[in-house]
Amino acid sequence: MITVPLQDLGELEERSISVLREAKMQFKRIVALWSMGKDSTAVLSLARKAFMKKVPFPVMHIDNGIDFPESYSFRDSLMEKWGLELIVAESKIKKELSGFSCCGANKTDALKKVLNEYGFDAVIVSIRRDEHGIRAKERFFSPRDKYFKWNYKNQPEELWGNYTSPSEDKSHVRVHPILEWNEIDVWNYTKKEKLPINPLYLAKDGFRYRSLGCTHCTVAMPSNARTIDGIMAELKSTKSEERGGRQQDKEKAYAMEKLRALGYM
Amino acid sequence: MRTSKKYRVTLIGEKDNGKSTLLGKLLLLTGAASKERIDDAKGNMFGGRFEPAFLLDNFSEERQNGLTLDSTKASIFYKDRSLEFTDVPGHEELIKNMLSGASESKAAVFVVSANKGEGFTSQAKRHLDVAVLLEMKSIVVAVNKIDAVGYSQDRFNSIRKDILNYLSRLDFEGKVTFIPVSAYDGDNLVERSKRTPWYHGMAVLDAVVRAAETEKPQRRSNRLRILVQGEVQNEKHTLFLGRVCSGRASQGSRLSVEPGHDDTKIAALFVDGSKAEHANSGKNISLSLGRGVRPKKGSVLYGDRCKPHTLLVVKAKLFIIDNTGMVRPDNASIKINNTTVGVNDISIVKSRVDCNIADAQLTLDKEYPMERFETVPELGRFLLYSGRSLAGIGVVQ
Ligand SMILES: Nc1nc2c(ncn2[C@@H]2O[C@H](COP(=O)(O)OP(=O)(O)OP(=O)(O)O)[C@@H](O)[C@H]2O)c(=O)[nH]1
Repeated sequence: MITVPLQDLGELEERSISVLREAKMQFKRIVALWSMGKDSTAVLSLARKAFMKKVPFPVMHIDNGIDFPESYSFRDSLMEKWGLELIVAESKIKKELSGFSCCGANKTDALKKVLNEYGFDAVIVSIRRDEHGIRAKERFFSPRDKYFKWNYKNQPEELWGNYTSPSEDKSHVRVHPILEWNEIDVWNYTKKEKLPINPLYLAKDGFRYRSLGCTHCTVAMPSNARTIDGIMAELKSTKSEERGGRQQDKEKAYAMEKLRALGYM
Repeated sequence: MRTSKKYRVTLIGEKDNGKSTLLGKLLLLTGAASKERIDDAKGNMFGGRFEPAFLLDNFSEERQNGLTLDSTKASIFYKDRSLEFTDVPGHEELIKNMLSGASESKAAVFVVSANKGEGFTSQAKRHLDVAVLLEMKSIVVAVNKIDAVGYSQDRFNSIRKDILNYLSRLDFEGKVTFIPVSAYDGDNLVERSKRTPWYHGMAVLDAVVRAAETEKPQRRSNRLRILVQGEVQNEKHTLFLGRVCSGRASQGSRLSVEPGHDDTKIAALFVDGSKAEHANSGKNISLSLGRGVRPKKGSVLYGDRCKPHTLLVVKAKLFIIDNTGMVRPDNASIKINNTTVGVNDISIVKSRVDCNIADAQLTLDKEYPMERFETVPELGRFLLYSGRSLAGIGVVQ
């Protein structure tokens, strides 16, 4: 059994807030990706703490039209409650694709289009190190070149809260405010802050979603967790990874590495 | 559910001496590796034997070449302690990745191979230099691959002697523990091994837990210092964003802005976007100040009667990545808290043969407030650049 200890939330929050603030100071046009999942919603809540309760940048939903209906209603209610400026990036789903090619073609291409259209120089992405071995190697500020490539063989140094600065040869910088959080910490925070959650995370008829992709690739897992406490108790002793229900991660060896090199989140 | 403070530990050592293997094996032995990671490591063996290192080395290149490209973190919960280990690359060209990974650790597990020819190389010494510069209080030396030298106590002792010699030259004052291990087989990692009957000390994980237990709280200053991160406009007011680095900020606190020595006070204080009376060390805050006072990004606000330790001339201990070329002052700069300050002169006060640590005096091209690393770490550590490339790191003495 793996015991996942909770990290000190105070410490985690302060680090995330200072990352968000630094991004705001360094970049001219920032956008935050918002999937309506627990992680990106937690990041928006942290941005509200950092900037006097108002998220000071637009949020973007990459919408391929096949997200869960629960996600759309969740999106609209929180948008109104927090006064979010929402950008919807439509990504046309191709019937014949799934998993690796689907995420590559759809999500990544939609993102490219929107970034170019609006000229965003920084994108806030709510990935965490514990999600995937490849993401474990990320930096808080992670530059992408004009082909969106992640040059993981030569990442800039990042010490003591000194982050890479904007420069000519970068297309944009990915900013990862909750990189150091674990899945269970996000739930702990969600509970503490009483954040609204997408109902798909809670068990219904013996199943719940642990991670939310789109309807094509995300599979529910057996669970009886009907509250956040239930989820946390379940996570305390799991031997499985969170993205276990995601098709694109396991299709081929190094799929995640390839997806990310192409610009995937 | 209990929360526990993380104790950050970094692995250090020359490439191929077994850092990733040691951490991977610890994850396996303590059951801290997920099933997916284990399957993934097993499914991609490149025809060789199972490598515990693959639990950390996730890139295809890392596995093919048996080399860590960039730092990875992994947590182990053991004996009520939350230990966060960082695996860093050993290859000398990857030192900036090593520095990025090691920079916030309190202790190190130094992995050094007992194998002939691998041993205590100059790159291994660079890593020890970094641990000493970062004022780590404990170094656990894992003398690895002891299986490959027939579990020889003589070999263990001779490596031990070399390392102790070197550490004394660096004036290392912390605790150092030597443990013979086989990272691959798991000897002396979590439990004492029968194959080294001559060794009576602790296993690696226990030595790390002890380092965490005996860690003394830092002698941090409790005078008020606020680092300014920038400003935002909020309904016609200018609010300054900052973080309390030491002491406690309160509504009405009198402040002096450095550089510049401007006096002001906290007119309004906000924590997490809400009005607050006080904010303790470590908190991010928003502030409005007296009219006309305008600290910049990187300014430090000092509480009553407290003055910066240094402003223009900084005594620091430096780790210089490539000490053959030394850093030329004409294009040197330092970066501290995302603020770059030019350097006019670097004079070496004390250098040490065969190591990359030097005591130096830096003259900045403009005033910038700094503190001793020991008392206010956030204001006492910096990156040293030569042009646009990282040349080293330093801590203020
Ligand atoms: N015989 C023996 N071989 C070992 C032991 N530990 C590690 N090795 C081997 O040494 C090689 C290098 O180990 P790694 O763990 O990749 O070394 P590293 O220090 O992490 O190297 P970098 O990541 O490049 O810095 C691998 O082939 C391991 O199987 C050990 O205890 N005994």
